[in-house]
Amino acid sequence: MASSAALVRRIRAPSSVSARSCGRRPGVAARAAKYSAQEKAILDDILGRVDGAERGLSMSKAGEVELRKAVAALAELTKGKDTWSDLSANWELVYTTEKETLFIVQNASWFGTEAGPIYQGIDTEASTLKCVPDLPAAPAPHHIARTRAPSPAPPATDPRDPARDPRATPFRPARTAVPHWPRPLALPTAVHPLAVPPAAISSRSRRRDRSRWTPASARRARSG
Amino acid sequence: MDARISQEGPQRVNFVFEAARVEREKGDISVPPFGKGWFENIYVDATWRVAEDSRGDILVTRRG
Repeated sequence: MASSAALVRRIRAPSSVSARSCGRRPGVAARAAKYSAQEKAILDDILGRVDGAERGLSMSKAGEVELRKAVAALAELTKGKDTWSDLSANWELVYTTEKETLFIVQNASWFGTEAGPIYQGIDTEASTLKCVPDLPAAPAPHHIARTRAPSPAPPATDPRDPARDPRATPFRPARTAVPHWPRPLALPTAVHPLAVPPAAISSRSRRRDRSRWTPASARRARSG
Repeated sequence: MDARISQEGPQRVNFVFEAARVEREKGDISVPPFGKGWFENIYVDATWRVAEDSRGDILVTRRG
């Protein structure tokens, strides 16, 4: 069965949004002067309040109340000012109170990943809006730790015959020992079943190592 | 999610969701689109946009 991580791949912003609308347009900076120093000061206040809020996940109730006051104050000042002409862009989410979006941000690990950037692509010429949460294919580290132990070795193409795996490098642990307790103490050599392709062991060393590596010991190691 | 938008005044934008899908390696999954409403752009400059929508949610975005 495919892992959940394999089921989710990177969801890209639609090319129609990226190509036509992404980035700053020449006229936008010039029109930005439409906002007064007071309005910009309130914007800075808002940005300061949402900074570090993990797109809204870690915003406190009290913090949201203060934020809403600031937004209301800004709305009162900017009422009636044109925004449509500067609206086309690929907007990246910085903060939201929307529960559905925060749900995606918080629970992306269900899909074996973590939430990447969330975009809202707006194209006023085409009259389109695209909401695109980006879920990278790479699994979230905490998800791996919680759900399964890390693999001790790269997966082989055929675990029954590791010598056929082109990624396998033959090696054989020669010795395991505790050097100082209370005198040098040799321990049984742990042999990973994928680590010692039988063909890599010479007949001479196979005779010498028969007590260490056998199909049965490999099965025990594999099950253990 | 794909939506159709229309302008209503200098700051208000109406939207209607038309399609939604999950894009995967093994093929996309379409899900029924849902919802319509509006959002009011309170502030839009060369970098930042602050908006409030018809449900009272606040959105702060950065131009990509």
